[in-house]
Amino acid sequence: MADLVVPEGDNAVAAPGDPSRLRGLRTLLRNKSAVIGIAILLLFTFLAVAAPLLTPYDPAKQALESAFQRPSAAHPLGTDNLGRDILARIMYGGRYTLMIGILAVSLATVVGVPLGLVSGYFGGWVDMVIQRVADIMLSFNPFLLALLLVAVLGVGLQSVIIAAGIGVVPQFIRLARGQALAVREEIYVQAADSFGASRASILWRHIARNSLTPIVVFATLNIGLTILIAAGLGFLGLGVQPPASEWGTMLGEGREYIFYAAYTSAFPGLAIFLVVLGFNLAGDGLRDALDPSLRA
Amino acid sequence: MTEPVLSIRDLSVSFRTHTGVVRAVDKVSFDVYPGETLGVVGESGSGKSVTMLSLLGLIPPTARFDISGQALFKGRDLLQLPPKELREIRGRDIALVPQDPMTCLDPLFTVGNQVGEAVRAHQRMPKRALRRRVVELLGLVGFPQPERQYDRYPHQYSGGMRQRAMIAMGIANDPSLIIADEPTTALDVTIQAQIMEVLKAAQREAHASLVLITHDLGLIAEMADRVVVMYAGHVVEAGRVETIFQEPRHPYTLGLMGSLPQAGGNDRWLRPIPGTPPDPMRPPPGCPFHPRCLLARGRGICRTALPALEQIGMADHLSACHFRDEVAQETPTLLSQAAEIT
Repeated sequence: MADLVVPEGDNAVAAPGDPSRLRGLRTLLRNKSAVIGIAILLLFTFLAVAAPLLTPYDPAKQALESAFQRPSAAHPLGTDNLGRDILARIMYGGRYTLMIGILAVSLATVVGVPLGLVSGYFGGWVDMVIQRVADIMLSFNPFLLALLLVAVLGVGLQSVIIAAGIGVVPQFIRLARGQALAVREEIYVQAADSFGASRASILWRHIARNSLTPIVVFATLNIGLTILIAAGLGFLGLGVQPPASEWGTMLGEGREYIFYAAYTSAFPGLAIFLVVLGFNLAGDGLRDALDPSLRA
Repeated sequence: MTEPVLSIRDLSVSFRTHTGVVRAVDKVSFDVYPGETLGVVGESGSGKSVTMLSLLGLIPPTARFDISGQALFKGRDLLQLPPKELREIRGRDIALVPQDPMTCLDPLFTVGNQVGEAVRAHQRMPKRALRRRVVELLGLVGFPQPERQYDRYPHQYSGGMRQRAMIAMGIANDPSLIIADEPTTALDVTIQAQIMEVLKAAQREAHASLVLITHDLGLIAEMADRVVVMYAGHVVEAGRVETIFQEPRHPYTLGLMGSLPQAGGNDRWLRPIPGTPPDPMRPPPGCPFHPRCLLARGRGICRTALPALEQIGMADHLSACHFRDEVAQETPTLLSQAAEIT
């Protein structure tokens, strides 16, 4: 066997402790807009989590005597029509918004990605059925789809999460299917086929894991979208119900007083804008960091 | 003679494309015997890979194709088996060593894990036993410290190392037949010899037959016991390797020999075969080789009748040429004519 031994030179291809994972993180942190996005998200997360420590006000407790106060030292963002501190309501409301965004996208990922992967990898009639259903869903605007679902499920936090999540499911199906179609052609998938690995194990081991990167990026970008959908439902009074201080709901409540006290709707609107911006910037940065083809 | 491991009879594969039907493999028949190494030679597009891939059901499902014929493996016709049973045979009884090792390993898993996947595809065993088996396999294909190689990722491997890993996956379940599809084409010349050694050792270890698909006659001369020469989807000559090299009885085989560089030979020029292989969409009538054949000399039968693959004198030497007997006496003339054309 002596002549079969790999020569030493052939052995030393890469040093141990390969830094490729760290490189991704470094690329992400060198990206200014990504850092800004992440900072915004960290700020809002902190405000939502630490709200009881940061503000003395109860977001739901009415104080009619101090209604419609303009921003001041006591109420930095003013008070609404029922005298509730808007800053406190935004901080507590962030809990709803962040939770809805993350849970809705998780739902969309958990439902859409497996369907898309199965559809793309197996092809045939399975693909046909899943794609036609996705086509039908895609023919609705995601918000309209969510609206329909709320009509069926009724209002409330849970319905909003499901509605916003299902609203973006077809996009996840399409993306995962495209990934599966591409990865399916990889030589290592054909190699696994050639040594008789089962289709289920090829799907799970090779197709799913190699499809993951763009899906993670897409999911991050979609959190912003689902937050907008949820806020839109809240604005229409079909989302999380008052007195909960979900930002869209706050926006809807402030709408009536927009000429008299614009700040009651402006600040929740600004919060929605910032968080959506944060998720989009972070998502873009994540894509740049994870996609080697975009790396300079 | 003993029973063949694999017996292919009248195998035809044709692809339906937008522009027409391509007959990639046309009534191919040959046998593979236990323990032997069979070389399948031919230029690109001669149907040598498609022949083997079609047996294993590995032609991409997106292609529209028709297969006919028979391929008996251990008494079962591979072409009639449902995909599920074929999947069980692949890797367990018949292993495939691929052409391009660079992209054959999934970048997300360690090499040991992937070799383990090949074992687990057909055998159930506890984790520790599996790891031991994988380390043993990595040792068999010549890694000096198999234990260390186990936890490395494919990008830390060179091409030669990856091909070794692929061979380890190939022999993971002691197959009785290994099909190596141009296993060294993508590798450096210096690595080629090592890989062939490993392949030979692996074949011995598994007591398997080896089908070596290649266009490299040098490799065939070194490795093979018997040779099948393919041209435009047909088997044009078959026989023992010494016979084929010393007394080729088909003008195409002769042409292949002539186009080989010879170390220490007194000929200065290589003698390529004139012309190009036929368009598979529109194969020439009669013998597929006649437009390039120096022996045809415009004779009618070459243009009208497909020559049958028939035995010549000695045992198991077959040639598909109407004038197979002329090849021997005309060998020097044919070679010099080829030289003039170039």
